[in-house]
Amino acid sequence: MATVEAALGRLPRRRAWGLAWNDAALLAVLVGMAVIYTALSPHFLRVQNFANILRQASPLFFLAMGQTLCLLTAGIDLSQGSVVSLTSVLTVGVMMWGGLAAGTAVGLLVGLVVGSINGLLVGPARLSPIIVTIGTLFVAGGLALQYTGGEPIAGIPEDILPSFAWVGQGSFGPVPVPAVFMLVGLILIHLLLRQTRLGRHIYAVGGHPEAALTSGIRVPWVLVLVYALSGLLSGLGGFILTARAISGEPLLGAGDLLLQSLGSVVIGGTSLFGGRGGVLKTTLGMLVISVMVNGLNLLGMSTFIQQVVIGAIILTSVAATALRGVQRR
Amino acid sequence: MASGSEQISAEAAAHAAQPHAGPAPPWRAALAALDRQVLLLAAALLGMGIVFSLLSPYFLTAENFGNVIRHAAIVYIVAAGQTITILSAGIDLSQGMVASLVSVVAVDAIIRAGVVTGSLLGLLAGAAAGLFTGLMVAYVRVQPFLATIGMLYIAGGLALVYTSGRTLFFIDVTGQQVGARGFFWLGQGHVGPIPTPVLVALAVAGLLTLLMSRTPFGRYVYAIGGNEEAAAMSGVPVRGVKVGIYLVSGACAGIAAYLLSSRSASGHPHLGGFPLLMDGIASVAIGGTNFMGGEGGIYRTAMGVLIVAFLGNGLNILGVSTFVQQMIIGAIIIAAFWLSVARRRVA
Repeated sequence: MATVEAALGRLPRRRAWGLAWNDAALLAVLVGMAVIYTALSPHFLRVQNFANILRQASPLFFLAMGQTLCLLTAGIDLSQGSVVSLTSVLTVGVMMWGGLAAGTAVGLLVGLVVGSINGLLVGPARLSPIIVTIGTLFVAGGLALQYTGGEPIAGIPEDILPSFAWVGQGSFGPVPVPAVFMLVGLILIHLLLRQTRLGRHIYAVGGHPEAALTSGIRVPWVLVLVYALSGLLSGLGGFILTARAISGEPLLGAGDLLLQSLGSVVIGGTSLFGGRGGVLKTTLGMLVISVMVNGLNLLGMSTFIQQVVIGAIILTSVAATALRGVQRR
Repeated sequence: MASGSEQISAEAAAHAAQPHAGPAPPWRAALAALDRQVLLLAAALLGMGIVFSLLSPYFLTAENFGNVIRHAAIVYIVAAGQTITILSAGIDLSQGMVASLVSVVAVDAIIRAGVVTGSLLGLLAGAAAGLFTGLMVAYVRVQPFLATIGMLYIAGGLALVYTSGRTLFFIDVTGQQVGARGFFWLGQGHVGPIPTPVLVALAVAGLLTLLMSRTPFGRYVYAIGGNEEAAAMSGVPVRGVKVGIYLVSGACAGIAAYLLSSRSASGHPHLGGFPLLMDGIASVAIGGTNFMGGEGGIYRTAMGVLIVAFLGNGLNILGVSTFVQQMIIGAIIIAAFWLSVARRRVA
């Protein structure tokens, strides 16, 4: 068993040159954007602006991390937005009568629970991830709306408000608190994927499912873990976002967040078919989207135009990766 | 086990099964062609209808039914287009936003250039979006999921940019009400007791049925969904078919947008959007078309649309909050899919 596992780890990464080109291209795009924005706006090349970019990107970062894990197993998690919404309302709701610790615990658990349900339906029950996570999207989203009656809820007690808000709004000097979480998260997840057995199993399940099964990897439970993690990370993202807004919004995650999460992973170069890619790539993809949005905001471009531009970027980047064979089985 | 091939060869089978000469009576061929899944769903629909009728006197009224099927017809048109993309193991996530785009383009064009020109331009916009998506999927080899996500953003953004986020009412530059009665009749009118959108939906369903069961295109779609490499190797013009698939899907979104704009007498960049897309996908999922491609059809989707529509309607009448309704639909999607998968695995 150990030998086969080791062999799986040694499998050549197909078209590695394609992926390396992708990373280089993304870096070039980032630098290019930075140059253009610096030229067009005096506000871009400032520490405060970079801090803003990181702060605003942090919820997206965690969602994209979770999404990466799911995509690596050739799955997908469409319920992330609803998990964010549900986390938001339950965190604030519980915090209002239960205090900081209870609110935080509940908030983080919500994502874990929803993710586990996804995982159980995708793994042991062997249902399609698209359908399962669409279903959970509906159920969790409806639950969030039902919990608050459709309206935002606010009213965290004055004494714990600053502590909670600090998570989303505070800084260590020039570095926003969420950015520190991002760094820690990135290191932890990258190590998980590259240095642990579970990480190798995740790649195997996505890239070579039959081989994974026959080599004794417990595929259903790997899937349960992956989706549970995705839910937990989405919950974390929702938690941070709520800490910035300090109110519970039942539609917090119902907008662009899921699409940006998918966009980040895809632009970063992780394959929809699983087995190829990783969180460093996703971070690059996420930065591309975040920097672009930030720059367009600074230039006063309407969010409508931003939407068109994001779509064009996603299409261009996937076209480029498609032509280079990254998104092929 | 593709029901499509069952449908296609049902007539031939019925014909061959009869020893005497002459074509098989049409009803027999139709019965043989009926999917067991469709019958199951029809039974569920009937059961649901009975329960709701017993629980409320308002359910079984002509007015209620008229309203429900008017909207269901519009959702069906979208869902039917979606079914065809899903049959090819693809998906079209851009339908909602393409609908928004068509809505604003069509209404604006109608205001400026009259009903006929405006309608043509609007529907052309829908087809153009579908064509672009199809080219991306077929020739650039972008995954349908990703291509349609990109198109979703682009179409949605374009719709917003086109109107700067405002709603377009039928008032021209001088503030005069623009007459567009023919246009309004499509969404709001009747032919006898039947709402016009239902007739449009039936026409679309008829056309798509012909397309899927009587033309090579239909067989190719099922083949691509079942096993794309095998289809390509047996000579199926995969790329051309894929372009056609997304063209159809975009056109369906456009037609639905047209009817929606007609009903609300306005062009709105948020018309359709995610709710329409989600209704469409939910209907296809509940109908039981296989998201891995190769099995299913628009009859199943029709049942899915009706179930979703009447379920929502019944729950509304009973005073169940829309939020809880959303949860119920989510649970049903999973349950219905689980059931259809379980049946397939036992088979």
